[in-house]
Amino acid sequence: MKNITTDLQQSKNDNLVDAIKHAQDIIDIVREPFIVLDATLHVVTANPAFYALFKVTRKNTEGKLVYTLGNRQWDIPKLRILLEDILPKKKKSKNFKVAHNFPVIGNKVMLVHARQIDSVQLILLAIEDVTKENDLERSNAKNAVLFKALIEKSTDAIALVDSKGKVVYASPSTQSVMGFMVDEFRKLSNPFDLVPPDDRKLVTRIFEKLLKEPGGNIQVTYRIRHKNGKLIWIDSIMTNLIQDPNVNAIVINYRDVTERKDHERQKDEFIGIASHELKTPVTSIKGYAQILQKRFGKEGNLPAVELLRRMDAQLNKLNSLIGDLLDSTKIERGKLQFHEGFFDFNELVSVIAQEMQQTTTKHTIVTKFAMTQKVYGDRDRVGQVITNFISNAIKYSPLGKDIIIKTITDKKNVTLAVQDFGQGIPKEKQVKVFERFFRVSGKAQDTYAGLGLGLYIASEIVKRHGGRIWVESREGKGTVFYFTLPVKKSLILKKQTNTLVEEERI
Amino acid sequence: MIKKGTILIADDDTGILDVITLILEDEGYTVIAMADGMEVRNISGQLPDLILLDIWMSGMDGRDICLYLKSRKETSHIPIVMVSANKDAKNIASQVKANDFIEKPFDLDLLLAMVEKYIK
Repeated sequence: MKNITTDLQQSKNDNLVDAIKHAQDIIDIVREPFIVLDATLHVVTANPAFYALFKVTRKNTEGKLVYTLGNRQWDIPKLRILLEDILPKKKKSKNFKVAHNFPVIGNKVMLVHARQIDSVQLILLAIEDVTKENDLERSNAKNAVLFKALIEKSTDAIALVDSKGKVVYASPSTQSVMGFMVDEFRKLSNPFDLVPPDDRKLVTRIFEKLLKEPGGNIQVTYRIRHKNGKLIWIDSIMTNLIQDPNVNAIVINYRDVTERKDHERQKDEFIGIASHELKTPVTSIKGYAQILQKRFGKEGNLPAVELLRRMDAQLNKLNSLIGDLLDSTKIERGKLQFHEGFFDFNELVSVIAQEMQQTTTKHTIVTKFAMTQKVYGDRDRVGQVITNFISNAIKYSPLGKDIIIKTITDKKNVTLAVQDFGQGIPKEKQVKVFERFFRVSGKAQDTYAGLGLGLYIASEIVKRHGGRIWVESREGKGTVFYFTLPVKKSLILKKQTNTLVEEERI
Repeated sequence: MIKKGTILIADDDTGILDVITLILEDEGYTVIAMADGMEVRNISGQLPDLILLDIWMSGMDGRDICLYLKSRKETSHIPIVMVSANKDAKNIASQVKANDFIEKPFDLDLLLAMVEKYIK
């Protein structure tokens, strides 16, 4: 009987040893740090992940009181609470967060899963190192606070609107920019109703265009009615993030630019007045020069007449510079006006070509006309474009040679090509030549005087006629400038948007 | 020189008044130069054969003067040519019922041709 009992005992012990061995195997392969304590909180065993993470050895760990591990680094108040307070009562605990600054391994944030198994008088602790996740979470939270502050404290206002234009979010600056409280603004059925009718068309058109371009953004400046009833200028950037699942809206970032607009208007008005004032003495000087020319002519003093003719030509140049200045401010303010009617395109080109031939002895202007064609538009303004093309051709081929002027007509369009054999325009500068204030510059000898307005004005005139303007050029070979105008009356003289309602002074 | 006719020129810039006077007197016209818009508005007695009127005058707008003179019985027959540095002079001239317009700066020959058109 005793033998049997011993045998049973023996076999029970064998089972236990096996079980512990199995348990040890399982513990060892778990990737998370794992530690087993006995009822007196001494370490029974730990797994390699534990030793690796906490940089301690098996020898200095097993059999030690848990708090004394690693030179008492493990004497953590929160761990004491878990082991001495929570576990004895509740027997288990999950996701118990312990943050501790270990002298050797630094700051660690751990989630401890613990279980007290009374039958074997063991405590199992699985430790999850969430330091990285915790840092990330904290930095995310910090970023969120930062971004919130950036948006809410920014003087720029931000609104998110859905595809119908309904406001889904408005930042607090809404109030400082437009006078509306955020809630008031959000309740508006369509915030674009605040845009005056003149500008609304433009804004709506741009908004609809943007809706078709996921990820795209457009900058637009328009007026909006402030809550106080006054119109203010808004500069906004709209970005289509409707397809971004985190945003799902059009983001409108906007600011009040009324002051800047006022300054621009004052500046343009100033240039307007200044150019008018400058024209007055030019008119007198030109008059005096012509009177002298006439008087010297009667006396037969031809050298004096010739000098005065040159003076007159320079005055014309001065006058057209002043005119360009005035035109460019008119374009900016949407004030460039056209006086349309039918005119013969070839005849106009021919008249200007003859005039321009008078200004140069180095160049021969050659004209090649297609069949004559009546065009509907502003004869003087189209003439301005032609003059600009030819004077550029003369200016940028200083060594002379031919300038070839061609007209091409078809049922829909007339086209003018003005070709020179000068230095040409580098590829990267070709698109820029139509920009305001652009000048082809380079080495001193390649730099030409001018305001950089001529082609800008020409391009505006052509575009407003519904036409197209472009350039083809090869460096060292020469340049061809082109423009086409539609022949049909209905297509042309588009109204400018962006207009200001105010009386023109001159 | 044979007296060709009397021309009233109105401009608030004395340089312009001087130069137009010289041009026209050289051609034998009699010139009355006025820098004050109000004075032009109230002309009476010996009336000119032609008025060259600046659009943008200080004191009184050339457009108002033109409309007024064209509305007055005694002066409505006098041809008025608007003179301006404004590219829209053409439109403005037709709006205020002026007979013609000339753009500043003008060519002497163009000015004389314009004058001859109305004083034969």
